[in-house]
Amino acid sequence: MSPLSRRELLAAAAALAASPAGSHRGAAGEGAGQEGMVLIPAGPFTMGTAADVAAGLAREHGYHVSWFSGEVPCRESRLPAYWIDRYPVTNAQFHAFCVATGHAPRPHWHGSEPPPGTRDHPVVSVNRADCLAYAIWIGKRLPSEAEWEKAARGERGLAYPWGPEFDPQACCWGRSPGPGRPLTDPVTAHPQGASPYGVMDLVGNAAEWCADSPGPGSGIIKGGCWLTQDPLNLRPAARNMSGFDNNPLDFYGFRCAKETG
Amino acid sequence: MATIAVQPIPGQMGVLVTAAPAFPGDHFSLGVPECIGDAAAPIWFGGLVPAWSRSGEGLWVQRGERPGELRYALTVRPAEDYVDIEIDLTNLSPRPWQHGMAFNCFNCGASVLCDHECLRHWVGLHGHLTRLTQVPRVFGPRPAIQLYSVEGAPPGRDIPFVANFAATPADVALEGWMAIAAPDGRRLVAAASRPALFLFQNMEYSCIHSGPDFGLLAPGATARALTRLYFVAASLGEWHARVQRELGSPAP
Repeated sequence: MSPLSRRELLAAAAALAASPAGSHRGAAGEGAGQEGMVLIPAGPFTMGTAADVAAGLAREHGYHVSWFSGEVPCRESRLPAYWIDRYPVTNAQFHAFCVATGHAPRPHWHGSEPPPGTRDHPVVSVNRADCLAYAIWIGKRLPSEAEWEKAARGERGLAYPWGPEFDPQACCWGRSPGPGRPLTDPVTAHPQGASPYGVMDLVGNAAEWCADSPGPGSGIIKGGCWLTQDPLNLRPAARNMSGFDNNPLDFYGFRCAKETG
Repeated sequence: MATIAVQPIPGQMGVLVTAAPAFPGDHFSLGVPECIGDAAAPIWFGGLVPAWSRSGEGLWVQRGERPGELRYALTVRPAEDYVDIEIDLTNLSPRPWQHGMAFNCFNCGASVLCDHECLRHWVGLHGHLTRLTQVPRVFGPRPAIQLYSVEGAPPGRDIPFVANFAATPADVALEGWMAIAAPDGRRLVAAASRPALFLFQNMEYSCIHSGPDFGLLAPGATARALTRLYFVAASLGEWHARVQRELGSPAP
């Protein structure tokens, strides 16, 4: 393969980022030069969970209330406008990155290729360094936890991206592990899971690395995944998961964000 | 009945459980020890290169040493439905250790038992079998992990290794074991130590630890402790009665 200039690589990446499977798709909220991304407007939003709501969830579902302590209290936050990927980064997109840069294919891939039929599934088995390398290559970055949560819950702090109640058809969840087979879905498989801004596949499927580090050598993981069994842990406000930076587990994926300026 | 099959990982502080009769087709990785030594300054996995050798039918011994700090011999003894991890730990340092410890990791992330949300994790609290999700939790710097004090052992806040995680609920002391039930409810795995110093679980890996306590170790002193890892076909209640008989309740 002949070496490509950075400009050529970025152009190829932008084209790939435009859609999960590599074809261009336009959508409301997407701006020139930001294909495949959704503009989240500046302004306030509700983050976290109110203490009385957490207490109610604990009573109703049989948890000690302290299991919700990471997401309490509910507070109004404010962010500048930003772009966020409409879908998680797919196997096709990550494959293009590997081909262009020589980055290592994922351990469960078939050689240098994603498993057959999974090009439009979220890439998994990525650690934080993998995510950051991809993001830098494509001229983006990882979203902060606050950016991720706002993209998922909208301004009013919905319990789930699609509304206040869990919808078992709106995401990929509740699956059991098997040898060598992450049980993800295509990132477009659950259109009813769209957030108020039209961001897709935020909960379930692949849990997503955020830019925030809760402690040295680790990162916040949001959204639950294909393995998640309790819908409470699919709520975007949930904060039970963190990942060791070096861990490329088979339920970790990511999406990218970008400043508007 | 066949015994559990184990395979040491050459040069590493780890063992694979390649066959357990109660969990056909499953496998488990054991970080034994993931960490060992003085609870105020232990040596972590990879901090030394141990040597493995066979010792009798089915037994494996891992020997590790860091001159001037510690020496240990870890015997892996598989049985029909449990694996004993017996460790002799020697303090080679010039300082007394308030607590010699090991951090024995039982990783269930690749098995049918995998439970990243602790929905099937069980512990003993005030004599009752209790779902872990009903036990207080501390949101620490790494939200996926949690440690617990153990009945009969000092509080976690007094054990530097435990306190450093800043993730141990105060005023909670559990029996010295933690179990994960299979989805079918008829099988389980568990980690128990005699004596136990603390418990640990990590949602990221779906792993459980029961840290054995070697007690006060003066310079040159050696002590022995046991971690028993169960792979049983039994209900939780049946197994709990058994573990109390076998290992004492909560600490011998």
